[in-house]
Amino acid sequence: MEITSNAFRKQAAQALQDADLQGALQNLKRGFQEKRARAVARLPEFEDLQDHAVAIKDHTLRLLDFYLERFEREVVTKGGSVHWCRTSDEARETVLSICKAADVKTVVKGKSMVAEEIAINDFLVANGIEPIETDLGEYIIQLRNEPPSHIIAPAIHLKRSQIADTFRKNHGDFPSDRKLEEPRELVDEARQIMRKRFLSADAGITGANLLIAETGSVVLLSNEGNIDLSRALPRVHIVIASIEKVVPTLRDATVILRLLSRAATGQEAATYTSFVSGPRQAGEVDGPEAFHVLLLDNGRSDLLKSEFEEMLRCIRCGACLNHCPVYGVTGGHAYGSVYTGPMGAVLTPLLEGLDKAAPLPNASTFCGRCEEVCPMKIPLVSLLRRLRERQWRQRKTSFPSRLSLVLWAFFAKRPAIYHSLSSLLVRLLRVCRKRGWISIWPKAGGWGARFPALGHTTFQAAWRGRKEKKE
Amino acid sequence: MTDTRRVILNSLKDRLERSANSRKSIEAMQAEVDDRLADPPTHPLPARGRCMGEERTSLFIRMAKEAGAEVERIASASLLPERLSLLLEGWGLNQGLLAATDPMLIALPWAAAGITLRHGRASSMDQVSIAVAYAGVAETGSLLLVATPQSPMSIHLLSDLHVVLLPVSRLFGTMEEAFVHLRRETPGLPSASMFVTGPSRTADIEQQMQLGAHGPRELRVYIDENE
Repeated sequence: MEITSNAFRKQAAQALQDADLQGALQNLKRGFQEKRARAVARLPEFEDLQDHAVAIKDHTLRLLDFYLERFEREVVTKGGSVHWCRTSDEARETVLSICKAADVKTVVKGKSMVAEEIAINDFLVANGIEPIETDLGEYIIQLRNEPPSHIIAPAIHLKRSQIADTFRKNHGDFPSDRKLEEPRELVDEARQIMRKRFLSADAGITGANLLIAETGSVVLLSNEGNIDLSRALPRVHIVIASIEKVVPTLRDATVILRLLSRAATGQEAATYTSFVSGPRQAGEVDGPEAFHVLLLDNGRSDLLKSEFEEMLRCIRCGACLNHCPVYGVTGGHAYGSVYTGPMGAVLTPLLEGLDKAAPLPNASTFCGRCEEVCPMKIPLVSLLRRLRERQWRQRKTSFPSRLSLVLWAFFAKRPAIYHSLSSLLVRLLRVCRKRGWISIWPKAGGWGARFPALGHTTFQAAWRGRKEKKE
Repeated sequence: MTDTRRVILNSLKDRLERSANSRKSIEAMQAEVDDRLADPPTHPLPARGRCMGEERTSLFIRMAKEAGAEVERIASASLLPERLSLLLEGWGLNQGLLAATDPMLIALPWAAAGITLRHGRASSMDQVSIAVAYAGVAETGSLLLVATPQSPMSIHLLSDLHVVLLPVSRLFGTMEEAFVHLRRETPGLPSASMFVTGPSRTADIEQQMQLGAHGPRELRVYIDENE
């Protein structure tokens, strides 16, 4: 997709005014946060597993070249092919040449963030190949020609009535007076349409949740069963995986899987967890005849041994999105990139360049909830701070931010002036609040109405008061 | 293509400062990788999965039901055709099943129950399918289903109602234990090994859970307590 992250400010302001979106985002708390908390509380070993998962990833990244070569060898031994791709461009061309060689006309797709990253759909269409998204959420946004707004729930920004409208517009074969109000009716209609697609498609394209060096296996997770259908029925299976997905062994993979499903949806296990190891074997009557794995770098190797290496631990669970106060009110589209929320605010500037996503490292309150819920213990706040520091060093920080930081630094280094000025400001804000001026704060783009009530005094004065009380 | 491979591996080696390392230390790294692959470290296994016998069976049943599966114990697999016949009648379905050509299934008294079996890969006409699980995992209530010439994977995915027979002797505590068994028979793993936990589902519409997205709407597990 075309990155529009530099318009974050404008896009976020629009999102705040979008009543439908705000309604949809209300579901986040109920749907994801509570389920995750319950699932984590039920597994006393969760934190212990986190430490092991981090150690597994750190070990693998340190020896990444060895593990990727081993993975490749195992895939080839099993009769599959591995294709190394440096950039999105190379990955797209590789997919196309595989499709052309196998005379592929239609492709069913499992939801894949990497496939979004390389924008494979538009490219296939332009080359006469029809891609069909099979994950329900992804299918809906494909019909609407929108990018996903969430890693796990790509259509989380839509209400059922919007989805019904989309179906009516696109599913001409169905009676126009059919009832299409309940989620069940929408799901059943999509199910009916997709069956034919699964059975007639020439190829299946999926991502990979993990790659296993030891066995050359690709791990695929889904709840709908669409990814396994996309793999098992067409004659060609193409996996697009980024290089950091590899882990050494099956035993390492199961550690990460226990964390992933809980952090993502609060499930004990995804409904379908498949370990795919090569194409159809002799005597088998389904499964693909050809099995291709693309190993995509696209900027990731530059992060190794850098101050951002920890980002390569990310397993795309979406927990940081679900718990982020900024994502919670802007939704995913405001970020203007494939990866959204806190992980997207770190990853997008790293993969696409800081100049293409300058506002993203600043789209955070640094409250730290993303770090707390990250199953892979990625220090997201520190990584965002490092990006801000990089912006500062490159003199890319916006003028107002730069000016206020310089001013703040000036006062912070002079405590006496700082104190008297801050107590004056608090008094001023109190007056503003009483008269209701805060909610109409100019240029706050709707944020003002959400501004929490302010304290009656400065923090330092309150602290002094408490200390005196104690004494 | 091979060129790109070399470029990527070289850039990885550069980033990881391999060139600065002597040949000897690269050999040491290769040895470290080989050792770890040959003898991977053990990671913590949830205490929940460490149970045996009846405790394990009831944990499996509890977890599978929680995930939306129907689970029933049967004293012998030979009772299965009769049970299914009633079930199909209740669903208003005809008495035909898509079945894996598993000797354990073939041997059952289907004709006596008025059920006919069909074999091969699934089509859109197959409403009900039946297979034998390679293993069950009590920790999560999951079934391990593997691809073989007798049991194609589409059997588990295209029907509305999927029935799985699980011999109680095949019930394990954790995924890890199930893998140990599987790899004793197939060290490199079958072409597909799929853990299934409950029926297919989606919450993509307003985060409301709906069963039966693209895979089975219902998953029924019969635990054969005799096998």
